[in-house]
Amino acid sequence: MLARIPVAVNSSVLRCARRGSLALLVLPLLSACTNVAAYQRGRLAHPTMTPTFGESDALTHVRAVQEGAIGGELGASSGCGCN
Amino acid sequence: MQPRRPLPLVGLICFAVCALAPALGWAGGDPAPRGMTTELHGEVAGYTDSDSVTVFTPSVGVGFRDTGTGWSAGGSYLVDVVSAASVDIVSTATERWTEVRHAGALHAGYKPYELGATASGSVSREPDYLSLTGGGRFDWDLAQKTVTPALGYAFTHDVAGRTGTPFSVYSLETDRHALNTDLALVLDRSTVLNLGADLVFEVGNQEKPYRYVPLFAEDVAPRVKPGTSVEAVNLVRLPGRTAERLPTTRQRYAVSARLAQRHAHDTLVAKQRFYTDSWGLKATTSDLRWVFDLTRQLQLWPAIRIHLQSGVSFWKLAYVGSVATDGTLGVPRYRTGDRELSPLGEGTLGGGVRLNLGSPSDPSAFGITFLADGMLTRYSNALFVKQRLGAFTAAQLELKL
Repeated sequence: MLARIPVAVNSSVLRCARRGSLALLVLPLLSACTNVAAYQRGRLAHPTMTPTFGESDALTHVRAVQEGAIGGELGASSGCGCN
Repeated sequence: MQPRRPLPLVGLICFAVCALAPALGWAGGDPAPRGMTTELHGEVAGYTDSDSVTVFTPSVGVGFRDTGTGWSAGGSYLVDVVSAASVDIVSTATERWTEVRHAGALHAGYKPYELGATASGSVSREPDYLSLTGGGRFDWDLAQKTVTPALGYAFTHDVAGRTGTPFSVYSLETDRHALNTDLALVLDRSTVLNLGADLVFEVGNQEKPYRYVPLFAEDVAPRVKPGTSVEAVNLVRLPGRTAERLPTTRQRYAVSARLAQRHAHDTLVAKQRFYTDSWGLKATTSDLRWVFDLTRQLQLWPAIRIHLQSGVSFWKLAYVGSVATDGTLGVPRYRTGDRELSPLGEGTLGGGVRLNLGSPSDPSAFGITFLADGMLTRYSNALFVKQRLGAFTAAQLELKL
């Protein structure tokens, strides 16, 4: 029993630390977002900003076959603040 | 390996005509409501490398979007014509083969306000392979579209067999559950940051039915060097052919980030991915593209990509086998000759050029893009080859109506 108390405390501390780290990581990112009005989104809406610009499904397939890693296809939804 | 069926050109033409009909006003009924846009996409791509592999890939796609109601739908179709006489094929005494893959995909989405949902499905078919995927995705615009989290799930069922043998007689099946999240953040008037995570769980037999792994006697294996030729391997390996064997489950994890920033006359896009999985493979992939507006109609960009990965935990340059007194061959539990699972580094240098030929008010509504990439892959601990040089080119046509 005596041995378990420090373990419980440690795991609780670790849990808090993890949550704190996550909050520290995410909150600055969220607060970094500025309120951009619709008329200010010209640059965000530029075609070169879209995730599909300059990409090729054929090249993605070649890489999927030749590399051991997958994932990382970001921006499949709108999420560019441009529409 | 077997005579191939001719391309289903009739189906391809029907698909293209059906896809183009509404856009060209051939379809009957009421005209499209205001806010309806149609996007057409076509691509012809080619890949070749120093390992005697060539791939020719034509593809077409169409997308419809009604910004008034929030509906969208689309589809795509591609054909891969692969011709290969790679060292792996030669090592199994097989001649050059040509194979055709057909892949089709459909998607439909509904996003009337901030919350949107998309359903998608795809089919990929080869004479000895079938892959079916279905999935869905939700995304939610928050804080006036400056924060957009998204959550998606897809299920894939793959069946691998041997050409000419029905799947009912011989097949290897794999199921894949893929969960992905994406958080898009508008950092300022010209910068977007995407953060994402992918979790993929695979269950099944992922061995390639045609892949055999050479085994070596215990005293010979340490003397086998990376890049040893097929002929030299055949001289020292143990007799017989041993099929590839992989673990039946694999958990794969990736975290990634994409930063896109638009300046007055250029756009910088940087991507980074970190990957690990339960087979012990770790990888990092970095991408950088810098798009310059030479004129309003012409854009040019260089691009660089670096991919580095470790091998899986059971990867061996030379697997050790043992021959028992009764002649049976003792083999390692897991063995593979798949260089995709070996330690490797790949550098890609290339770029593209885009001609915007649309109206002055929207030049990008009609565009032609040319892509060209050169790749150098180095294998530090694999048989047969130490490096591979590859080249990829593509011509794309995009039209928005």
